[in-house]
Amino acid sequence: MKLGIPSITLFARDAKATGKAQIIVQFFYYGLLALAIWQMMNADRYLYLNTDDFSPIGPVFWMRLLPYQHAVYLVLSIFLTFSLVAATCFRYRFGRVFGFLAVLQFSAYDSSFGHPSHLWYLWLYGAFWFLFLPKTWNIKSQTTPDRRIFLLVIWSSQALVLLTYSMSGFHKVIGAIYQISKGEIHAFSPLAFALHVADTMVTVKQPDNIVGNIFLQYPLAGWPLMLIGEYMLFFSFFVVIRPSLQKLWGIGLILFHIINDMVFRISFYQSPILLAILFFDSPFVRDGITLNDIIADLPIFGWMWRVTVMKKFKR
Amino acid sequence: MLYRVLKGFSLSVLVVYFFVGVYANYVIEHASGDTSQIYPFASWGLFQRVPNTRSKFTFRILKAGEQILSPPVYFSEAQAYYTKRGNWPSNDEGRVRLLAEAIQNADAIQVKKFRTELEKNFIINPTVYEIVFFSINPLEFIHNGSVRELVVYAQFTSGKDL
Repeated sequence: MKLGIPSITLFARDAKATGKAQIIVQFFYYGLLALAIWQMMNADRYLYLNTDDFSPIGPVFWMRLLPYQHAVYLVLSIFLTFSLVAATCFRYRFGRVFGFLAVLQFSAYDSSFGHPSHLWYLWLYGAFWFLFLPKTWNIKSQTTPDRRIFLLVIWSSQALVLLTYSMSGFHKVIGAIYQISKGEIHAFSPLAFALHVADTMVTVKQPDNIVGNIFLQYPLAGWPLMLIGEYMLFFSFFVVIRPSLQKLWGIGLILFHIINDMVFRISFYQSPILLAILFFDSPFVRDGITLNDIIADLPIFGWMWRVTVMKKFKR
Repeated sequence: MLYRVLKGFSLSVLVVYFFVGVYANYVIEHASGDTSQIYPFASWGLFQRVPNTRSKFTFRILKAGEQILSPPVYFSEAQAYYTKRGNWPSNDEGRVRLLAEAIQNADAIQVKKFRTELEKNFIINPTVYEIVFFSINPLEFIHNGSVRELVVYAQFTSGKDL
């Protein structure tokens, strides 16, 4: 079965799909609360930042009016209390508005150091889409149009999150084509990963980065990781119309973040949590998916699988 | 009706987000050299080209207190001599670039400003350092410290002549 937006109507007839969607919303706000608690408990990392470049942007303009450390405690408090309201009242739109404001405030603060920080963007986009959830939460009271809207909101948040990964992959492929045309080492080259590691280390020397140093000692070891990563990033958006792949892509993208953290010290710990919530038990995955279905749905390789192995077995 | 409106809005957001990202990445950033991000949007153009060579302004330390450093220690290696602060080290490198531009423009006020900001992070004083422009292959640089091109812009001693 192929899923495009119109198929949401089919899923809306099944209360089970909406039930899964509700669990996603519930865990989204629990996850947000956990992140807010974590930030508050690690307040020191924000309190003692160099404030030379600190210039509060629009949503946190009020931070200009207070001494820096007081303003930080206030923004952390807003993040925590608003997330708490959202986690307890996510069934109501006002609760979800609090959730949106919570992540808006904190992400704006995080982006107030001279350049935007996109660490919290995916949570912000999710919280934005969830504002559009229908009023009626009780599945038994929900009409089919309510369920369609519910599922469309979940689909939209999944699609926007996956689009960001595909955009990252898209830019890498364009960059690779450009570098191939210039005769340079490009994203598909065996040394590409090691060069990225070395370049990051030149930007910020990390003598205690054991994993990064291993890839400098064995430059070819990172090649397969680079190729798999580029494949998964580029085709992330494709998963929106191939829901059988959502769990696999969720796992893959989480590993991508973990490897980035270990090798490059680029810590996107917020995103893996969101990926697990959105894609580990998606409402758009039908029951009884087999490994064969998953392989057959893979971009490029699935097509090869279908025209070779599956065709052979059909005969 | 509401479903159709929301569906149209959702698809529009996806299309607009993608094209704004592409525009920001390939037009705005290349035209202004600025980062292609406007809160809360991002082009997600991360690691998009493999750094065959890295050319940039940086600094290198020649002497820290009484200790002469030979060969000189570059910013990326200077954690024993320079405290990086802020949530992203590129802030420091951005400051070095601005200092180099001020030196080029003979703008004494800006030179003083950026030197002051930079020098407060030196751990040992006085530190003798140079503002340089260098080109490297990152792997070669990490493995044997080789620099392909080096232009020295100025030499300073922290706290002196400010």
